[in-house]
Amino acid sequence: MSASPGSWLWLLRNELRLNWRGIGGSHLWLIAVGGGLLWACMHWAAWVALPGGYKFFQMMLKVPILSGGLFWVSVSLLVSQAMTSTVTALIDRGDLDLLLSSPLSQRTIFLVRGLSIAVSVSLLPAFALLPVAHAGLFRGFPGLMAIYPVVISTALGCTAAGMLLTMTLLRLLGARRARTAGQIMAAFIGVAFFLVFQLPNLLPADTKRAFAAWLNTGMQESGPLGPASALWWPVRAMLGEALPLLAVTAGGIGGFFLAVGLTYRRFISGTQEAVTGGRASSAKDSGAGPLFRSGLVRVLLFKEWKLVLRDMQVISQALLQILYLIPLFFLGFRSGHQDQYLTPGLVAVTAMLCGNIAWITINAEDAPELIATAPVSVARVLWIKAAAAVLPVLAALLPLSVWWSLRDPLAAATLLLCGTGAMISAALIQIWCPRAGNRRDLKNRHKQGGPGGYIELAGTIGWVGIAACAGGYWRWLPLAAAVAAAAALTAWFLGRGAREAIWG
Amino acid sequence: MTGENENDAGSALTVKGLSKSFGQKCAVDKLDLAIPAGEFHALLGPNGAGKTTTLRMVAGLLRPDAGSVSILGHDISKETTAAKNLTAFLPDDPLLYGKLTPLEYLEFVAGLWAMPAGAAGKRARELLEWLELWGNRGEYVEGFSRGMRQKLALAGAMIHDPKLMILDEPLTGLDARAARSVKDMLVDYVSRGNTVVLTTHILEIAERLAERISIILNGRIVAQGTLDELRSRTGAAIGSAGATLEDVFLELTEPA
Repeated sequence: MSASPGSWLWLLRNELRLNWRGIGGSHLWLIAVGGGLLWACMHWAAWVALPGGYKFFQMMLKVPILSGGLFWVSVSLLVSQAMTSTVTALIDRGDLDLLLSSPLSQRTIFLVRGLSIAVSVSLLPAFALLPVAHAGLFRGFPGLMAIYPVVISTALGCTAAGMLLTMTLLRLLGARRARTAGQIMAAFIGVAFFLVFQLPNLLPADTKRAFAAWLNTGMQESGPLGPASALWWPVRAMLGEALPLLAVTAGGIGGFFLAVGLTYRRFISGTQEAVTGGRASSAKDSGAGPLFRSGLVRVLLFKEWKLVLRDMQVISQALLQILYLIPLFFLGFRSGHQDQYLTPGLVAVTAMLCGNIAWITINAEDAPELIATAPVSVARVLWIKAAAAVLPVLAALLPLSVWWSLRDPLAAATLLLCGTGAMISAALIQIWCPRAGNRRDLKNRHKQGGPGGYIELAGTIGWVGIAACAGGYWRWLPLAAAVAAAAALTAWFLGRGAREAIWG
Repeated sequence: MTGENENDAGSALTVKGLSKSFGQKCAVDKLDLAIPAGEFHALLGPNGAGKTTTLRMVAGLLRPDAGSVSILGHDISKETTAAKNLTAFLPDDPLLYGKLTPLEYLEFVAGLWAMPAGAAGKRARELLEWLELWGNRGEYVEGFSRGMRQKLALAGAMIHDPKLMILDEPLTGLDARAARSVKDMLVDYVSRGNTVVLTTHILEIAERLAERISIILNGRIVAQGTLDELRSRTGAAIGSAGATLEDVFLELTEPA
């Protein structure tokens, strides 16, 4: 791409380079080679499957709720991704000061940033669908090349939706809170369809029958969900139908430019407020004089808990983990097989929650030098930090176990035992296999290298396995227990060097 | 205090034969330094001379390859807790907790140094008022400017009333008013018999505040003394008894 310095194309190239380097870090070449090979395989699969597949696709259009439903689920995920990218690109990334102080127009900067978000949003659908378009060109279905404009316009449309949603949050909540709320909302949009798909499992039988009847009526030829419905135009557009293609392309591209035109001024002023005027987030005034706590344990525990409670990223992660469990919860209680469904699920969630908090308290300490220069034993500090991770999750688990013991004492005891074991295991692995990180990287902590993440996962699987065995599969218990024990021992063994470096 | 340490009586900081290498690069090379209690001492040197590495070893953050560090008679590697109890270290870019308020931060630091809660609260108020942060006591640190963060970090370093303060570029990012209040605070602190060792690139600060100055180059102390002593040492080369610290510094650190 040749572009003169300062042009929008030149700026876009810079944005894309930054995005590209942000994808894989030091493993970029591995991702490029692996992705290239996978894409070649997908081309081959599309080439082989296309003649029959095309007929199948056309047949699916007669029952559009399947193909169209899949499209809209994908759109919801892309909007979620666009929101996350918008928050990162327009609020989090600290280069707006540099760009806005340059002679480039604000509109160009905003447009290019929007385009770069759209490119990142389009990557996955392009990766999945373009092999079909390419194969179609050579297999006698040139209409499938319409996948190109549909992917591009869908990505632009989703980016516009993501930007407008983030903009609304920015306007309602201010830049600082919008960032957090945007991340949470993006996560919820991502999980919403999962919950919708679980609805049939959760509804009572009568409601389920009524819903099925409504769906049948809606899917009739003239119904709102019938084959002629405009809801399914994007899928028809991909097969090259002219009117849907025109509408989808115009909608996506038009929506994007409209969103840019409507929001760029507000975004730029909003993000500047975040830098210059962001003094709004304040804790409650503590009155005339400070009342301090004393004692290392109390001070350290309260400090860790305050930081976790005030970190919306951690809260949103925790909420999501609980949200994913809701269908399992209903399933378990409706089927009466809590021991088979619910106990292992809850053990997994407690381990994940505790692992996340322990990673933040132990490995993502914001001021390690302060603690290192304090006259306290580092080992003692680490144990207190582990306790800071285990105690709140245990506090949530205890009342649940007590209430549950009234219905199923064995399942409740299993939950308490395995949940506590899984939590302690997750926290210990953070201590035994330390690797310094930044709390902002919580979501990607498993990708930060080192064996700790995998060992923690193995430990969780072991404890979940033990909980599942208590549901009647006792002969597998030794294997599950061996996995849990092996994870802890491996962490202890592999982490010796790192521990020596930190503990001295 | 035992044996060798008794020789360090009256000395706030004694560094003997301190060495540290990173791979092939020798950052600190058999460095010796003795700073008596109650002295304001400036450690100067060009970028990469080994100042920060030295201070980090003195603070117990970095393990030396060789040599010893004694703080008020306590060897940092053997009597770590006792030495740290008497010391405060302020790095050049202190990391604070964005989601804590200044009071919560100081409460935490006071807890680390096991201060009684009542005394810590009173001291925190004094420090925040002095540094003009009391009005911001309810705000999260994440919204603070660099200067405000620096002042809060300094308050954290002073809250437990250390006998020795090790400050790496403590005035970076402070406005003139804040810099003045910090300088006044440090002078007052030293006047009460405490010791300050600081690094700075602002030579005027060292010239005005420090009683003695050490100049470090390539990991070694190349000159040490009062400003007059340093002047006399380089006077022949500079040719003037009224040479500024800048003249002296440039002369002593001139590449061979």
